Parts: sequence; C-alpha cells; structure tokens
Amino acid sequence: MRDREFIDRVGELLDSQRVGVLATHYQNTPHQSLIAFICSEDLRDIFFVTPDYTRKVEAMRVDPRVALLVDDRQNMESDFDSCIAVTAKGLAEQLPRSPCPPAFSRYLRKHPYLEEFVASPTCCYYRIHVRSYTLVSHFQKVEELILE
Amino acid sequence: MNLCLDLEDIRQEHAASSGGKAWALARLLQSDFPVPAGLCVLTDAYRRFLDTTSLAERIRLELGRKDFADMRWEELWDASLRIRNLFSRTPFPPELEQELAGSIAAKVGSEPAAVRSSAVGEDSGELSFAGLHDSVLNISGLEHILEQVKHVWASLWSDAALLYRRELGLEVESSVMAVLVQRFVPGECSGVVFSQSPLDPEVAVIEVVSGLAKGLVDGTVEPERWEVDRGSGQVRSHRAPTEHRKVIAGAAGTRVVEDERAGGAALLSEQRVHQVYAAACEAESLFGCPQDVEWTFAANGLQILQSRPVTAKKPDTQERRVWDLSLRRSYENLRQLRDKIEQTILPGMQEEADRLSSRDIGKLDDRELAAEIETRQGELDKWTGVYWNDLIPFAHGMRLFGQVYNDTVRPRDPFAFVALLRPERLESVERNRLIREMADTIRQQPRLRERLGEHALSECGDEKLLSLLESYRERYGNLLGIQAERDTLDKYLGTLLLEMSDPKRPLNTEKSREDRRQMERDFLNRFEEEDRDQARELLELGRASYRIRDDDNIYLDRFKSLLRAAEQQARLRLSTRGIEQLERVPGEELVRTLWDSAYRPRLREDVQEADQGSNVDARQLLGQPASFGIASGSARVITEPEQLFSLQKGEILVCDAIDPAMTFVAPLAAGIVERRGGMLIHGAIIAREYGIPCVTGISEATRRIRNGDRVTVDGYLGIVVIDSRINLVL
Repeated sequence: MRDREFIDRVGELLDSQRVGVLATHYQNTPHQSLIAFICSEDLRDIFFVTPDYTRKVEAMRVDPRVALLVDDRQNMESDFDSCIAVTAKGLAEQLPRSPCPPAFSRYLRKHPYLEEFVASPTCCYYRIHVRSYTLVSHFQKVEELILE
Repeated sequence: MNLCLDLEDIRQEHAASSGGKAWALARLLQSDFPVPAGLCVLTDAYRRFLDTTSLAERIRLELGRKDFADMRWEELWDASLRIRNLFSRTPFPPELEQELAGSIAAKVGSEPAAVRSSAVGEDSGELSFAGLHDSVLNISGLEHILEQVKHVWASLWSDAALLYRRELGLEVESSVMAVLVQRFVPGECSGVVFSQSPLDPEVAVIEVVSGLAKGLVDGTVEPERWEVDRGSGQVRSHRAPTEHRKVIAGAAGTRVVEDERAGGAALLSEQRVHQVYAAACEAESLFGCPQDVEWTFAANGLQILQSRPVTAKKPDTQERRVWDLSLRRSYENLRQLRDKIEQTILPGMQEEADRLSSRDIGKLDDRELAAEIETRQGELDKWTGVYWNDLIPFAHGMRLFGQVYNDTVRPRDPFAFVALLRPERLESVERNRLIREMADTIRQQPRLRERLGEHALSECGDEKLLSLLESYRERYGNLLGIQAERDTLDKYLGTLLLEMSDPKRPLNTEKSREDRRQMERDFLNRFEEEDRDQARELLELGRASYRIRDDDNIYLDRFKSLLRAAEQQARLRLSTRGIEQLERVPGEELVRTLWDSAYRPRLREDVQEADQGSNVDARQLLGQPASFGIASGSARVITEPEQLFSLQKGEILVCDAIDPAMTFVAPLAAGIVERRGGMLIHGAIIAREYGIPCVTGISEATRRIRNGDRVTVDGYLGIVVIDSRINLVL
C-alpha cells in the first residue's frame, strides 16, 4: 500500500468514528478510556477534551506516551474480515484553554452535543502529537507508517 | 418532503405527521366548519431540526444523567428547563428556517398567530394527556413565531410530559411533535363544549369565559356554565361565575385583566348557546363520537379552535404523580397563594410558635407535660400539612419566572435567573451571620478561644458572646433543630464556633450581588411597555417564592424544636425512673409513660443502612451540577444531624438533603454532595449563595462515599470523583 492510500484509509476511519480507546499508564498500571476525538487533516495531531481530575490526565502528566485505538467494528461475524482498526501512538500535550485553540471549534462541529462539556472550566484540552499509525485490516493484515 | 401543510390539504395519510389536533381541525375545515386559517408544521420538521443540530444527542445526555425512576419531580422540571433552553439557544439551520418562514408567511402574513402543539397520539390512551404541551397565542412577526415553534417542540419534553414518559412512550428516537400555526382570533368570549357530558350522558355542557379560552383552559378564570338537554336541545341550567376576570391579548402574548361587564349579565345569549351546541353535535356526527370542542366568538362569529373525543378517562392512580402535577400552578393561582401565605399562614405559624414557646414546660406536672407533647405534635402535624399543601406548591413561582426569563433572555446557564430572585434578606443567611458574629468574637480573643477549648460555651465568661448566644436562642429556637440536651447542644455549638474561629483558615462568605440591577433592567427591557408591568409582577412573585421557600422551613423547624424540647423534658424526668435508652423512645411512648408510671415504653427499632459489604467501589458518580466550581477534600458523610458538628473546614459535605436548619455549616464546607436532586432545593440555593461547588441528585451518595474518602466535586459538570484503591491492585 502506498503512503497516500494508507493515509487516506486512516483519515477516512478517523473522520468517520466519534470515539476511540486511549491507552495510558501510571505507576506501571495500564489504563484505558473512551474519548471523543478529532484528527487534523494531515493526521499529525489528534485532539480531545477530558476533565482535569481523571486518571488519564494524572497518567499523561507523568508520562505523555499514549496510544489511541479507533476501529469500525459492528460486533458481527463479518468484523473479522471487514473491520479495520488503527492505533495512533504519540505524545500527549495539554494545551492552554485561552485563547481557544482553533482545532476545538472543529471539535465542536464534530461533537456539538459536547458543548457544555468543552466549555466547562474543569476540562482540559489535549493534543496527541502522532508519531506512528498501525493499520490492521483483513483480520491479520498489519501495516505501519512512521510520521516524519 | 413537505415540512408544512395547509389545513385544507391535510389528508388521512398525513394524520401521523400532523398530530391529532391538526388532523381534527383539517377535517372540520374541510367539512365547512368555521376554523381560523392556518397550517401545520409537520413532525418531519421537528425531526430534521433535531437531526441537523445534534439536539437529539443533547436531550439523550440530559435525560441520561440519572435513572428515570429515581428522578424526583424537581429533577424532571430541571431537566425539562434545560431541554427547553437547548431548543431556545439552538438556531434553526438556514434551509429549514427558510422553508418554514416561507410557508408561515404565505399563510398568516403579518397577522398575529396562535402557535399550538399538535402531539401525535396524545389522546389515544386510557389517560388524557391534554395540557402536557404548550400553546401560545398572539404572536406577531415571523421571527417570534419561529421561536415559539421551537418552544412548542420543546414542550414535548415538558415536566408533565416527562412524568408520563412511560405511558407516552416518550423516547428521543421515536417521539415527535407537530405544530399548528393559525391566525390568532381575539375572541370576545370563548369556551369549551362537551357534546355529551362525561358525567351525564343526557346533557351537553358548555363552559364560557370572557376573552380568550386560555383563561378557562389553564384555570385562571372561573367559567359561566350551561347545561343543554341532549334530547330536547333545551337549556337545563345556567350558572354564573362568582368573579369576573378575563384573559385578553397583550402587546405580545396574553394578560389577565378585570372583566368590566355589567355584573350578572350572561356571557352567552340563548341563541349563541344553541349555536355552540349545534356545532358540537355536528362535530360529534363528523367524528362519530362525543366531542370536546374549544371555540370562540370573534368579530366574524363562531370559530372552532379544537375538537377531540370525550372519553371516560380513568383517573390517574399514581398519587404521587397527581400531587406532582398539582405543583404546576398558573400565575393567578400563585398570586392568590402568595397572599394566603404572607397574610395568613406565616403569621399564623409565628403566632402559634410564640404561644407554645411562652409555656414553661419545666413547671408542668407529668400529665400536663404529656398533654403538651401531644399539643406540640398536633401543631407540627397541622403545619406540616399546610407546608405540603400550600408552601411547597408556591415554590412553582420560581419555576414559572425561570421559564419566562429563559424564553426571553436565552441565557447560556439555564439557572442564571436564580441570581435575580435572591432577596435582600434570607433567613438562613441571617442566621449564619449571627453564628459568624459569634465566631468572629472568639477569633478576636485568643484567650477566649483557648478557654472554650476547655470549658462549655455557657461558662465562657464573655458577655458579648453570651449575649449573642441568647439572641440566637431567642430568635431561632433551641438550636438548629437537633435533638439533644442543652449542654450537649452547647458543646456542639462550641465545637462549631471553634472550627469557624480558627484564624488560620478563612471561611466561605456569601457572594455579593453582581450586576443584579443591570440583569433586572436587561430582562424588563425585553418586554413591550404595555407588558412590562406584568413581567415585573412575575419577577416579584418569583422573588417571594424564593424567599418563602427558604423561610418556610425555618418556621416549621421552630415547631420541631418545640416538640423536641418537650420530649427532652420528658426523657429527663423518666431517666429518674430507671428507664434506659430513652433516646430510642418515640414521642407517643413518652406520653404513655408519663401518664402511667408503671408502663414500660417500647423502643424505636434502629434502621440498618443498606448495601453494606459490596466489593464494587464507585470511582465517578454523576448528578446535577447545582453550583459552579470545583473542590477537593476529605468526605464527611452525614447521616444524622448531630454529625454535622464533626464537619471541619475544607471538608466535602456528603448528605441526604440539606435543609435550612443545616445551612449553618455552609461557611465550612469546601464542596457539597447531596442525594436529593434539584436546582432550586435548599442545598443548591445555599451553595450558590456561598459560591460552594455543589452536585445534587446522586442517589447513592451517602452509601457509596465513605467518611474520609478523598473526593473531588465538579460543580460545572455534575461529577463527583472518589479516589479509589484500584491503581494499587496490579
């Protein structure tokens, strides 16, 4: 698969899905959370919002290395062949809330029902600087792309 | 896809998308009944509005905060208000707005309009769902009409509709609402006619009021009543109303005024009675069953506004729901209730409590004391009944104002209106000021503080402090409604004052009134001059409702304190007879024991706290954000009033419900978590007053949070986080 095709497939999946599973770790304990996200057009950044007092924030403050799993499974037998899953790995960075980073206007366009959540002073904004994508399709076909 | 259909064009196949009211009116119009011109905004428009604005998911999130079965009426009302505000604040997608505006303008032009709900299947079940949804009259200008279309859509989720959620099958995915937009008819007199009375199949009943039928439908105006014999068509009886008022069109909307008609003159002539009855009979034959028809007489004669089947509906057997629904009151009803509360009820409570407290129970013999306990219990029961029947319903004044404020101002925070209601003087805040003054007196004198660490409050030797203590006792009864002997209460208060007077840690203080006057001006200026006085009166009613909601409990607490004082006196005497565990002897047993010295009283059974021993820990609990802010601290779980005195500054107060008697702890708590839900309950009000982060409506709060747990209260999102041990497991 050429780079462009890989990037298009990953981009389509990330655009089409609303939530993914964020993996963090803290004191040698793994932790996973569902998050609502958006992805930049060049796929280099993934943005999400979370309350400040959550375990994932506690973990990311100590070690910003994270992975985000996004997939299109339907919980059917056909998933084994037709489902694709992408894992983005990178470094999480907390962004200042003011002025509001432009990406979060786009975030609200994708998740308008989260307006109150995003506006809450108890939430913080995060960006994942993505270093690599792993794309799994056709049950066991695995491809990877490291972003320069 | 058509989003609107003229009444002339609605056919059987549109019945489901036009709703019952529009479909019935279309049939009447097409059968040459006089029906005001109008159109129906079909349910597809509602669905499109929800789908293109993500409102559907927002409503789901709002309703999903808590299990529906656990929600109290106040919480349903709060949810309904939030949803209504979501509709208000969500703009129409341009294409949808253009399409609706074009159709409405073509039909009603620049004339004032009536915008009415036309719900799908609201009268098809065994219960009547009439009145659950909104209708608004006399709306001019396309922009305002479209705004009202949104409000009528929002009323699909009204508090009353939510109470019947199960029966209505109310679900975000499947429930829809159609809206009728018709030319507004400023009727001279209006009413309803039952072509067959639900109580007597031999007669038809006509009820008529001066002005608009709204006065009759919402119970604001007492109607004139006619009965017509269905066999002969002759009038059987006529009953005139005892008072004369009417609802008329204002500059925008409607208002209530005195009816200037010459006293005694009937609203309908016999000829008009027959005309109305004839129309009802024709509607009955058109629909094939007895009809309940709403009508009005205007300049162009009789106009039919609505027709629906008369059915012998079963009464609602859920008593609590019937009571909840009785809390929804009209402005007029609340105005009358306010007079009753301020002029009769509260002075009556004050007078009775003063009378009881003037009796020196120490001088009574045992039998007199027994009689006194029964008297005090009787007074408490009587005033508790008044509290439920009159004082709690008056709290609806705040809600009524809140809805009008939100519809007019469309604030981001749907509870911003509470700041406007806050009165100059709140009894519980006044009381806290007195406690605070005592604490300040102690703080200024380190020696006094030291002395209080070792001696009882009454032995402090400081005249100023003793005088403040005495004023406090005189004004607020025994102490904070807590049952204990005077020495113990002094000990509690001493502990509280020591904690409050700690110079190292500042106390919470009540917030200053920021921009209150500006906020009031902004609100009133949104009304036309002609309607401004009415808006001002509504604000005044809301303020009275807010003030009384807080003060009424304080009045009631005096009766509780008086009863407890008499019971304590009895316990004191019975302790000399060698009776043990007197604190577990209930009042009626104390009375019996005082009467009969040989009687051994039964003890109250202790209630065991449920849900012990679960291995599942709560990490995050979801409730309602009741006061903005975030706070972390050690949890202090209060299940008995006495435990309040163990609350230390900076702790998170976790309790079942804060009543005004408990609000003295507000200056100490860093955050509040309440099991009871609602934005207008005392805990929420006092938390906002002091700027303390507060989350209410967490059913499991006192069971799942333990004393000493590290807790974070997010008053913005309604989340409570409990630090747990799970990170240490692997």
